[in-house]
Amino acid sequence: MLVLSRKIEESILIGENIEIKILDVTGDKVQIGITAPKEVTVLRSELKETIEENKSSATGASKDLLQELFGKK
Amino acid sequence: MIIKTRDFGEIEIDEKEIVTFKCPVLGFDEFTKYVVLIDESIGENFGWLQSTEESELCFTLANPKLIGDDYKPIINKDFLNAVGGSYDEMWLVAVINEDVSNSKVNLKSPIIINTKEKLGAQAISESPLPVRYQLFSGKESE
Repeated sequence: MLVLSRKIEESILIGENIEIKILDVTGDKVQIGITAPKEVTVLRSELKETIEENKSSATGASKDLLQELFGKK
Repeated sequence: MIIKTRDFGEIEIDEKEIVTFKCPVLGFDEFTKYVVLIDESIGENFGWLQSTEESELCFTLANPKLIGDDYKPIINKDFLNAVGGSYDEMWLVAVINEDVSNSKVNLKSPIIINTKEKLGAQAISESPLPVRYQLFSGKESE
């Protein structure tokens, strides 16, 4: 991981057309502005895990499996 | 109306049962209309969030009661507004495997539904909760 320090209003450039700018720092929160082409997905990292789990859930257990595991006998 | 489902074939539902997701299930942004299906033989512990727009799109749901009374995720007002101010039904997106002890639920981003307004959302909670929580804590169900 590349580690950089920036002050408010300073920015970082990634690749040809992505810019990360520090807009504000208050307490333990940093407000970050991101400029990227619309085909680049920009996500808070905890959302990526949720998306992966959503996909697993959608391809997961069928009703038959659930009935087998949890159905009243 | 008749809808095609992934696991239950074609079923008859009342259009009024359809829940509109203004905050879509993450990663599935084009789909906003779902119904919650329950199977009598399984009861209320598990259900399905079936898309009424794509018959093959169906998420396994687990009832938060399975986690216990301590599970009270903080939902901020943007998500509450998306469901008309408040919700009265909550489900967890579940990944159930044949190896049941490996089954997981997403405590961080529950599905919240306002059953009166028929609005739903996948809300990302402010609380530091896991996305992958072992439902049966390593113990096998009977």
